Order: sequence, then structure tokens, then C-alpha cells
Amino acid sequence: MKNKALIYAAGALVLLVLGVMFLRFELPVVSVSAETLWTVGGFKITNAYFTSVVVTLLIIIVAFVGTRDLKIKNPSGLQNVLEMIVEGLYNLTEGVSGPKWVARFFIVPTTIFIYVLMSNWFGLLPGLAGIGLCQEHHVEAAHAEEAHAEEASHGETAVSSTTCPQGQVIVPFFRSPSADLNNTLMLALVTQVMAQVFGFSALGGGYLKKFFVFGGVAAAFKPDEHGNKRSVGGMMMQLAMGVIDIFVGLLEFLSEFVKIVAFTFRLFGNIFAGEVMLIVLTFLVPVMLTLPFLGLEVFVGAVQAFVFFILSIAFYTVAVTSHDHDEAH
Amino acid sequence: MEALGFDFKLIFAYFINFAILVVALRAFAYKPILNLLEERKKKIADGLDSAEKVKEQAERERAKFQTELEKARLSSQEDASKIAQATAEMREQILTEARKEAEAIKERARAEIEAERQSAQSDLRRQVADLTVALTRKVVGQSIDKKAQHDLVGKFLAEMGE
Amino acid sequence: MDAEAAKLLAAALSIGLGAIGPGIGIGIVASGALQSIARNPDVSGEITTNMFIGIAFAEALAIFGLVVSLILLFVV
Repeated sequence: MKNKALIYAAGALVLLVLGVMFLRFELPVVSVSAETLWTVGGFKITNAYFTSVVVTLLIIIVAFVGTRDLKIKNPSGLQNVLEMIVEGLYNLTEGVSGPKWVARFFIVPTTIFIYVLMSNWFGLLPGLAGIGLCQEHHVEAAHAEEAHAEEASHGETAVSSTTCPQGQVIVPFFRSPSADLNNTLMLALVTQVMAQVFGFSALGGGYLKKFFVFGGVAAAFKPDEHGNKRSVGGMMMQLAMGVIDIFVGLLEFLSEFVKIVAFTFRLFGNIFAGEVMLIVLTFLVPVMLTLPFLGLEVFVGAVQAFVFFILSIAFYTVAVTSHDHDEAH
Repeated sequence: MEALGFDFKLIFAYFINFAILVVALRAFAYKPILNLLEERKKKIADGLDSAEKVKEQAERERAKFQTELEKARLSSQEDASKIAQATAEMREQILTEARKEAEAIKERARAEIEAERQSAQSDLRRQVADLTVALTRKVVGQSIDKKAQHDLVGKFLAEMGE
Repeated sequence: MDAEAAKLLAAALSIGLGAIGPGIGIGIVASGALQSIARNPDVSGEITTNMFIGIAFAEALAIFGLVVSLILLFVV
């Protein structure tokens, strides 16, 4: 038992060293934005968008095939999985938002969860980074000079491991849509707009009272709750509280926008950083070392999808609960 | 913004993508599966209900059966004891009758035997007397007189009579 | 120090320093959640959900640091 483990460890170590010795390759170009694959009539099809379409189609096909003949008794494999996902997320939604809103809240965040999870994991599929089109080394205009300088210093030592001609790099067909800010911004916008819609539909105009709170200031010039006239000190106190309320409301208003940014960059940052980390690790130690980090990225991808889901549900729930009601109990 | 790759056309394209996904999943996954879960829940509840009902029914049947069985056992016990009593009575009666009959038969048999004995005795006496007379006549011839003969017979008979 | 070096340094400091606070915060959140789960394992599901919400809020700060880094590196 012990010997076997030792042999495995030694083998892994040998692989690691051999990898470092013989499998070094050029550090690929790390681009924050998704690379353009084709341009169709002025519309740039980026690899992230291409992947997004693929992922969408895959999900739809799986959902379609899995629910083609649903059985009440003895469901088969795929149906079981789909049931588990939908039922689990539904129950989770119900747990956070309560039974009244669950049917309306559940749809978009669940779709986001499935879509984001599949996007994150699709980007991790090994080997896909090497399949793509050869393109001119495209650098942002502002950085063109530096990039050239860098290339000049690098160019002679690094051995190009790609099959692309000199001066061209591989642009992979697939890039996780979560590593494209357009996609994450879209998801964040959808989530936040939905939150506002739910807020207005639940509270009507009262929803705005969450952000623009003038009640506290107004109360300073009215008699207090016992009907007595306020003293000057009491009035000042109430005025101060009212001003604080206004600021808190404005902060909450601001935070609605901050949420969009947070949503956008949380998902993007986690997934993009994970991919960059994997690339850099592979560049440093080509074999073996990336495996645990690949596992970590699988976990991070799942957690980020879940966080996106649960945060949107939580924000929806906050949006439909009125402040007055909250303080009442 | 440009350097981070923001592009409104792309955002819109992503949005359309996502909207299609939402609609498709709603149609293909959420609705049918939630309906199915609801249906299954209802079915299970129904099943439990009917099982409960059946169980109740069975319980009732069982109780009824139990009481009936008890009743039957009681009545059969009564019957058995009655029958046993009747049997015993009958047995007693038959026995007494039989005994009486046996007694009567014995009595009759004794009487018959007595009568038989009587008749046999008298018969024997007469025959013996005749025989004796004949024998004597043969042995003695006509020599013996009437008086001696009768004495002899009388003596003999007296001896035999004892 | 020329502008380029300052930019790189700023980018590194932005995410480097920006990750300290959220790191500590996430640690505190996870520690609290684990203690609660250890005390009352029955509600571990709910606690985990809320823990993720808390972690997401703390993490957002680190993400802002990352955004500033990215903007410094690629936009400014």
C-alpha cells in the first residue's frame, strides 16, 4: 500500500520534471476582452459569444431530450438529474423568498444558475484552448508599442509551439462566456432590472420610498407620536435622524448600481482570474501541478453560479419587502 | 470601456441568447417538471389517503369479525355443553333401560329355567319310576309283589328326591 | 519612477491590499458559519446559503480591487 503510493508519487514527480524540461511553451496572449473570431456584417462574433451560443444550445437540447417523456413512476437517469436540479433550486428559492413569490422569482435565477454553471465548466474543458483560428497578433492600440518591444526581447528565445505562422497566435474557438464582461454585465443587468420590476410590482410607488426617505425630516416639524409639540432639542434630534435616513436611502439607491458592478465583476473576476491562473501555472509547470487547481476551478465555477443565483433571489426578496412592514414586526 | 471589451451589440446579442434560454427552459424544463412534481405529490398523497382508508376498513372488518367469532365461540360452547348434558341424560336413560331390560330378561330366564327344571324333575321322576318298575320287573320277574315293589320305588324316590 | 512602473505597482497594490480585508472577512464568515453548523447541524443548509451571501458581499470588495487593477492595467 505504502509502496504503491510512493511509486505513484515518484511517477508524478518524474512527469512533472519531464514536463518542465520538454513541454515548455510560449505564454499565450492573455486578453481581458474576448477575441473576435469572425466579423459578420459589422457584428463581431467573439469566441465567448460563440461558446455562449453552443452552451445555450446544449442546455436546450438536454432539457428538451430529458423532459420529452416524463414519467411519474420510476423516472430514468436524465429525468432524475433534471428533476433534482429544478426541485432543489425551487425549494432553495422558496426557502429564501417564501412561498408567495417563489413561482415568479425562480425562473430567471435558475436559468442563470444553469447557464453560468455550464459556461464556467465549459471554459475549463481541457484541450479546448488549443483549438482555434490563427490570427494576427492583435493588441490594443495603446499598447501596441510595448507589445512589440516585448516581442522583440522575447521572440528569439521562445520556441513557438503552435502551428501558426510567425507573428500569428491561436485564437481558441471556445472561451468561457463568464470570462467576457459583456455576458456578465448582461446577466447583472437582467437580474437588477428584474429586481426593480419585482419591487415596483409588489410595492407600487412605495418602492421608491426605500431610496428617497423624507419622512424622518418631515416628522421633525410635526408633533411627535404622542401628539405633543416637539421641543427644540427633540426637533434637532429628529431632524438629524431624518437626514441620516435620507443618506441611508441614497446609499441604498447607489448600491442598486453598485450591485450591477459587483455582479458583473464578481463572476468575471473569479472565472477570468481562474483561467489566467491555470494558464500561468501551465506555463510554469506544464504537467501535474495544474490538476488540483483545475479541481479548485471546478469548485469555484459551481460556487460562483450558486452565488449569482442566491444573491439574485436575496435581492428580489429584499426588493419586495417594504421597509415599514419590516420595522413593524 | 473599450479596452475591457464592452460592446453594446454583443451585450444585446448575449441578452437575446439568454432570453431564448429562459423561454426554452421555462417551456421544456421548469413547467413540465414542476407540474410533474406537483402531480407526483398529489398522487402520493392520494395513495397514502387510500391506504389509510383501506387500513381503516380492514381494521373495522377485523373488529367485526372478532366480535362475530367471539359470539360464535360462545354459542358453540353453549351448544356443546347442552349436547353433552343431553348425551349424558340419554346415556343414563339408555343405561337404566338396558339395565331394567337385562334385569327383566334375567328374571324371565330364571323363571323359565325354574319351570324347565320343575318339569324336567317331574319328568325324570316319572321316567325313573317307570324305568325302575320295568327294570325291576325284568330282574325280579313277576316274583316281586306289589307291596314290595312300591316300597322299593318309594325308597328310591325318596333317596333321589334329596 | 516613470508612469508605467507606477501603473503596474498601483495595479498590484490595488488587488494585493484590496484582498486583505475580504480575505479576513470571508474567514470570519466561514468560521462563524462552521461554528453554527457544529452547534446546530440541523440548519446547516440554511446557514450555508446565508454564508455564501455573506461571502459574496465580502468578496465584492476584493473584486472591486481586481476591477481597479484591470482598469489600471488595460484601460488607463
